[in-house]
Amino acid sequence: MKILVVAILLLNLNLVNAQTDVEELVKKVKAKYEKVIDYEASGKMKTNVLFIKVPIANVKIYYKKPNKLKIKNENGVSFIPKGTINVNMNNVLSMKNYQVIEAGSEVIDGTPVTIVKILPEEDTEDVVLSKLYIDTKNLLVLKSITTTKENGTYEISMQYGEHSDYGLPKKVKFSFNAKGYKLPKGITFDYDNGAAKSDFDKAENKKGKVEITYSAYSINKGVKDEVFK
Amino acid sequence: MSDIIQVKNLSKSFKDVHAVQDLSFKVPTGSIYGFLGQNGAGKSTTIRMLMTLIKPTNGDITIFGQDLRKNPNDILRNIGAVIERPDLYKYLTAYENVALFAKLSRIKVERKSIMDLLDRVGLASWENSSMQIFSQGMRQRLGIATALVHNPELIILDEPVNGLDPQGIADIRNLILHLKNDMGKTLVVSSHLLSEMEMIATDLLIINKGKKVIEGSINTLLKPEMAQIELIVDHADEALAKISTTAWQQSFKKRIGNTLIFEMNKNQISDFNVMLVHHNIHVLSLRPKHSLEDYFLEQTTETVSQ
Amino acid sequence: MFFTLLKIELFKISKRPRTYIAFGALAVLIFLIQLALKANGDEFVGLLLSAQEDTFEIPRKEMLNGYFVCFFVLNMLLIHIPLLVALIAGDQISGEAGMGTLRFMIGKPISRTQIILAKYCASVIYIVLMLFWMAILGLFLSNILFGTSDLFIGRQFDVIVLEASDIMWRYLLAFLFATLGLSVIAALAIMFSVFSDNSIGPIVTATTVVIVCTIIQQLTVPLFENTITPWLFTTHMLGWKGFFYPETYQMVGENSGAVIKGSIENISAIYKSSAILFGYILLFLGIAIWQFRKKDILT
Repeated sequence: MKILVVAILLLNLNLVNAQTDVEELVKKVKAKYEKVIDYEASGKMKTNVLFIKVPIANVKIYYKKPNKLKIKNENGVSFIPKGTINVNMNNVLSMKNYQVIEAGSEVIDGTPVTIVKILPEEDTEDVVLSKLYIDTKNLLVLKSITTTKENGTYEISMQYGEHSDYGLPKKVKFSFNAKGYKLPKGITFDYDNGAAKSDFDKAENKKGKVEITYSAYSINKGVKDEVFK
Repeated sequence: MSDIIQVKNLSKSFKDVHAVQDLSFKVPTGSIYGFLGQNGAGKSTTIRMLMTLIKPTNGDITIFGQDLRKNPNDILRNIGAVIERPDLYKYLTAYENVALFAKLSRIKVERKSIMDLLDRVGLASWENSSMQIFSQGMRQRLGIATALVHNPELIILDEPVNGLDPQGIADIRNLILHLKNDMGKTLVVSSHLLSEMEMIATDLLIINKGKKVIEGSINTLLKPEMAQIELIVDHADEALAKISTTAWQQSFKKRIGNTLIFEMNKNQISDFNVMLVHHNIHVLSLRPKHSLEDYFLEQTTETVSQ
Repeated sequence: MFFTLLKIELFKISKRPRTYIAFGALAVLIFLIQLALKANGDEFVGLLLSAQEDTFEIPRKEMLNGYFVCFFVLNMLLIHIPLLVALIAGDQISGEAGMGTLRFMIGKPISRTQIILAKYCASVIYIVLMLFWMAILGLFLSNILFGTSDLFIGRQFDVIVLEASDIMWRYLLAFLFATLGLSVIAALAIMFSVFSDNSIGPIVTATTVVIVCTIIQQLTVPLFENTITPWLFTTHMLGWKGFFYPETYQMVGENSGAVIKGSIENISAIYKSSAILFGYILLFLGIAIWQFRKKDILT
């Protein structure tokens, strides 16, 4: 019995210790991300959604504390998934009250990561649950899976480069649930060129993917509020 | 070559309608060839076949010594025609219409030549006017100008005086005579206005119901020394009975009601008159007639004869 | 002689008031479309992508540019323009027959085959000028009024975005293809024109044929879809759009799913459509020449 009590105590202690560790970890990561007051970056955006055929676009990315983010294609037409804005890292980490739960560990591309779950304590947040895969050594989030109330689940994976000190990635991949698209034939009056039709309703893979490769970061040099309008 | 056109056994049928039947004729070079017939007699169909508008069901057409079927373009190059109404391009001016038909005739014409031509048909001052405002006579003259622009040897005019006022008719008549006499052209002129034809034609073809009635030079056909006498009496039966007792019976041709037609030499007319007085025949009118119209009517209408 | 004849036909077309009806009508229609899109274009664009508004930011302002307006104009008008082509081509022989000028033409040393071909070529040149006019108003004027950006095209099952620098050559080819497509209508109208002695008949008949074909094409029932529709000229007249359907990189791989600049998804389909349209032109002109050569001119 004593042994059992001790065992439970030890386990509890372990859990408490582990809990304290991940809270610390998230705090450290948060502190790192908070070094960024604003940034402006250029990027190449690649869209991979069954029913969207777009070229690789040149985009501008603007960020300003606490959670303003804007992706713009200033010279062309790009469809930016709303989730990329709503569910970016800063958005998750800038939540006021949340609970952190340790959820194991994994190895991503050779890097060991600690998995933590973040649960907002307030109902007002759009985020229901966010799972972060944190490179504990470099204090960088390599992957996140976020479930939202409005827009389903988004998976974001990040690769870092020269701006890893600020927690700013060189490449971000968003994966999200796409909704069906179909227009009446009488409106579109398409030409049948014999190519296979990508009917979304009949497609197996209904995930959409967007990938942004960042370049030319300009960090903490001020970003005007107008760009977020 | 004495005949500019030779037509042999020409026929045209539209389903069950025989518009032209076994028609043969020759148009002498340098003539004004009158083509006579009532409306629907087959004149226009024949002219359209000469102009390649209609394909004959049977028969041969030779123009300028060439087979029309084999060399239509060589032949048409030398023909100018106004077929039925002078329907030219209403939205073009007089000058533009003539210039356009010059090009269609595959010739290059200087502006001056076109202006001379318009002058000849009396339209020089209308060169820039749209055809829409032209009177029927002006249109006919412009039509003739388009037919003449490439200086053809043969000119075919289908009902050229149709719908014209007396002055217009006289203008066209003079133009036709000018073309033959001064320019040495051969003309085929169709008409149902026979008095006009009589004034200009040198040769004549009369057709009725698609068939040839008679063909020949106007002098041969009309026998100028002969005259037809139209006698109108109050009692035709009585008059005819009295005449039958005389040698004049042989001159009697036909009776239409109280009108009696006789044919005799012109110098017998006074003797005929003496005979009427002598036999106490009451004459209401005695009129010598000598016109193509009578001839034409004689050949093409069914009459009541005794 | 053919070129003289062609020049004469063009001269006649240029002198007729009805020639300019088409240009005027096009100007009015394009202006109305531009006005409508200027006023409510945002809503219209949004309507096409209304189902996606939750998932994506829809860049309505950028989407509504000159290239989009021109595509919209072509999409709307190339279906209706056959009427304007028939108005000129359907009148070519029958109009002259009705006016009586045909008997003057035939009496000239020109072959009837040449007359048909000259009239057809003149109609095609008219089409080229009409499309050039459309390009000036629909493309260049729209570009001035709406600015330029990437071209957005909404298809039944997908949307396409073409980079601004990847569009002009597609429009050039599209206009050339539209010329071919409308040339079929010209051949059709001239064919009917030979059989008639008044201009209304062939114009109405040609337009009716186009409308019937379009309706059959829109009736997406297997009875037609698998039998008649693939052979209708109206089906292949849409081939101009094929130039705006680009190839994309395979869905897996480095650039997966992205549009390949300067590419056409299936050029062989466009070749096939062109061949079928050419076939129709030859058929219609062949019938027209055959009938015209044996026709008795009675007007």
